[in-house]
Amino acid sequence: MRRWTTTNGLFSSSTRFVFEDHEGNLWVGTGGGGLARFKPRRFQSFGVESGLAEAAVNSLWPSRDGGLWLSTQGKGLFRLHDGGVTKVPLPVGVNYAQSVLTDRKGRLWLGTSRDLWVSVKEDFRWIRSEQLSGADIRALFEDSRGRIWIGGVAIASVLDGASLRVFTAADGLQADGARYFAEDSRGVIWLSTDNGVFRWENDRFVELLDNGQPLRNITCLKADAEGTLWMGSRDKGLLCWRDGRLARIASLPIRAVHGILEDADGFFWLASNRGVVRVLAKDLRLAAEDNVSVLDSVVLDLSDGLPSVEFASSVQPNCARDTSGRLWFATLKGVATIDPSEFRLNTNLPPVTVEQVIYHTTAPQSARQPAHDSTVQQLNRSTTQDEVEVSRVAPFTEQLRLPAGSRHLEIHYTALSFSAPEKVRFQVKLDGQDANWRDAGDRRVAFYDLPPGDYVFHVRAANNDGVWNEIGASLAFKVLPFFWETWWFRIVVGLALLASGAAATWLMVRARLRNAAERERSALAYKGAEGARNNLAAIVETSDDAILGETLEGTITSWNAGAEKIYGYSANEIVGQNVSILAPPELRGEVRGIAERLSRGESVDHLETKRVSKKGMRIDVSLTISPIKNERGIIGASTIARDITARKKAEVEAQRHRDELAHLSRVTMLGELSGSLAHELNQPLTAILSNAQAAQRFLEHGSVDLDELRDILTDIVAQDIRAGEVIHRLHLLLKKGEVQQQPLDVNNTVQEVLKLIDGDLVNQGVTMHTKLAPALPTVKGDRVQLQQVLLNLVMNASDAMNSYSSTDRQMVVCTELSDGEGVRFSVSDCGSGIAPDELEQIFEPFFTTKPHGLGLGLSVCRTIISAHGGKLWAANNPERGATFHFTVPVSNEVNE
Amino acid sequence: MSQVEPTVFIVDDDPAVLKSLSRLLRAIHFQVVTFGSPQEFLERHDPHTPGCLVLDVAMPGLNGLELQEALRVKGSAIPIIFLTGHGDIPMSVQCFGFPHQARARQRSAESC
Repeated sequence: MRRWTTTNGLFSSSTRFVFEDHEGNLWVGTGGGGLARFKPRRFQSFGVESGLAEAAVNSLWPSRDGGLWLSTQGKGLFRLHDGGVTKVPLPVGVNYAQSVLTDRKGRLWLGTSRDLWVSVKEDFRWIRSEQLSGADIRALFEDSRGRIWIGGVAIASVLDGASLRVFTAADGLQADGARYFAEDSRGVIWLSTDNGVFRWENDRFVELLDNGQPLRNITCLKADAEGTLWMGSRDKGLLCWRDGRLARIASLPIRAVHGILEDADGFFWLASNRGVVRVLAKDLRLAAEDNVSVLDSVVLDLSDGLPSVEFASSVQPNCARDTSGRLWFATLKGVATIDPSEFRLNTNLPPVTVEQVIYHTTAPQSARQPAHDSTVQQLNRSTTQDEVEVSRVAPFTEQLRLPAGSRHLEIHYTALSFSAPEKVRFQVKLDGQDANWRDAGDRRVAFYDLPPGDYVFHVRAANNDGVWNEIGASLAFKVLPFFWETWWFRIVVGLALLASGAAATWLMVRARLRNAAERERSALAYKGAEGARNNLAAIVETSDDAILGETLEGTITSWNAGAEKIYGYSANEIVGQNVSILAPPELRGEVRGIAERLSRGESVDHLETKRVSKKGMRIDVSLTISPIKNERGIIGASTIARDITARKKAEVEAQRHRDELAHLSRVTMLGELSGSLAHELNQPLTAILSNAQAAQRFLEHGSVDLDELRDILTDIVAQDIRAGEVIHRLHLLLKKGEVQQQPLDVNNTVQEVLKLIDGDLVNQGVTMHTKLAPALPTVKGDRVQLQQVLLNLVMNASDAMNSYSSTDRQMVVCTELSDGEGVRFSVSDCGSGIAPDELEQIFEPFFTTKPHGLGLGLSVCRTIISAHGGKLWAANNPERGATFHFTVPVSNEVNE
Repeated sequence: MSQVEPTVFIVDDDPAVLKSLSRLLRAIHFQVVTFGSPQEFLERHDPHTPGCLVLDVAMPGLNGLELQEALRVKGSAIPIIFLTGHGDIPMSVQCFGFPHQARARQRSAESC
């Protein structure tokens, strides 16, 4: 019996109800604390909370008594037994092991970065191998004959009985050492190195070549009972070598494989970049032969209780199956274990339902009002002038009939599976459009410009384990035609054309249906044709754009219906008035400027400005004004004005969304920094407290030294100001202010950020170097947003190095003047760099390599820098790590 | 450094904290010696002087835990009081994992 209280994460200890759903989730309603869910976990894990000194586990191997040995990154060797963790003594002067193994004789082996050690009786009396002194050992493997294979950087050797043999180039191996060993059922040993894969045969290593090419980037090996060699790759997922031929299993959704285990039921369990993938070995063999496109596999990740999807890599052993059949994986956040015999697929088919249908229609009034339908939710939510958004929600009792002109159709659906809703997959198919099912994201799908006709929409869903509800849900609907899309109308028009013999009628009909831009083009095409003059007038009259003629002095001479619609004046009211009546008072100067340009014969092209309507409303317009000439010279001008108010509003809205996202991402980032900020505040608070308490003591003892007391008060004031500054800096970054472009001192901006994150860098053992060019010009930008970008890059750089030893955690922040680009900021780390194919991908939204990252940071950064007129990019350093650069244009104004 | 009187050694990289702690300990009549960094302590400290060490955990360069390890290697058995604003379980395990009479004291507003 176990007890759960608020200390285990429950929000309240008073329980109102308990409910178990069809997938085994337990829902608990608490008094005053909301709803909590207990989810069955598939993996059990042991990390720092179980007593490990360091969460990152390098290597693990089952001990003979049913426990587990595990070595952690830099912090010692541990034994896991009966769920408890104990620290084990290491040889003197050794802090941690890179590889740990027990053999069948009960010897415990340790590979370190300098030596090989063995404890013969598991009593921790360590003996060092003299012969392998100085070797950087990362792989230990015992074969079926009891030989111990030892590999590492530039070392490959085997211990057979008492004789140690170190392999050299003469044995067929390059000098690049050995990283992973495997043995197949016939006793053949395979090994991978940094640059290739080899087979040990007839006392010699033979390299496996694929079309003459070595196999590179192989991280782990597994030979199965049928003589197939399986290889995990750093960038190509799972590879298979059989009968001298290489095949890639492309249908698994993974890129990197760090370890391969097989359970008693013939399933492979792959430690991959997405989590642990469970797949039937038999299916993999079939896939290797004829490359089937779909493989039944289950991806197990954080939602299944895995503590991390980053596994120990390039170390052997980094995963193991113990004698009871239980599987163990070393991760950066502890060790994860699962009993494959108890693994059950979630076979609950998720119920699928269509929730809502939304369409935009430009239909005439009569078609907009299906008033008989009670499920219509919102009507006339105007999106643009003529477009209306209509939303209907389930249940759909009768066939849905979409009015003519429904351009944009959006269908919302969902499936009920609470085990891991984010892993639910959807596929949709629209009869009449799609021949096959296609993957659909996000619980909604949109269709554009569907021609009139009958349709059936189908959706199906798979639960977190990829089990499909094949039946899914369907929705039948009809898109009604416009009268000119009906067969009878086309026939009537056809007959009319034949009868009149004139194309003009057809042109008129067509022109009325097309958009204004096309109208302008046809207008030009017909300019010269005398007979088309009437048509031209008709086109001008029906245009949605305002088209007006004016004299050189600005007196309006013609005014079309579009102009009346936009400005509100009728032709009678305005012809004869001056165009400046349309300009807001503050823009009258602009009107004079335009008149001057026209008199010089120049035209104005797509000038975005503001005008004012008869009712005094401000309208955003785009103006194109051309001089009209005859043989005597310029006699006037024609103006085409397009109403862009809706577009401007949308642009402002989009900008607001971008700013909100930037703010949100800033708040998230500062949340991660809270530890560091607490430190920054605690320092002055500690100083204030100690000073004040010291003063109290002095006063109690009556030994008041006034100079000392004065100094104490001075210190308290100074530390209080210091605390205030921390809060002020934080407040500036957190507040959701107007984005302000102003000239900024580059180095000052950088230094403020470094002050904010300094505590965090110290905690993470990162050494910061700055190379700030002196006397840089100011840049034009928003201080808060640029600091956000810098903070984000510095935090990423720090994260990128946290698996390295603290002497290697060096970061450089650099500012310099860059010709033609403005000022360039760079943040360099010494981490493992970025895979070449991801250099650009990392800036895409929702791309993340961090298990808890949202994947928005860098994409928001790029948006911010683009909005500043600069560029943000990443590159790998020649020696190690990556550098992020961004540029910001120099401010033209003189320092304020 | 031949005093017989026990001394409190304080190591903290923050000068303001260093000064105020030293002042507070002097106010309650302790002999106090201050060091601005772990390196400085290792260089200047005479292991034969009796006393105890008040140590900040988070410092640039060598941190408090690393200084503890360095002292252990040198064979020093000086008792250590750790100061930290954000102690966690692994850190405490490491502090207590050595045969010292180490005590971690949360340096946070509520405990003061």
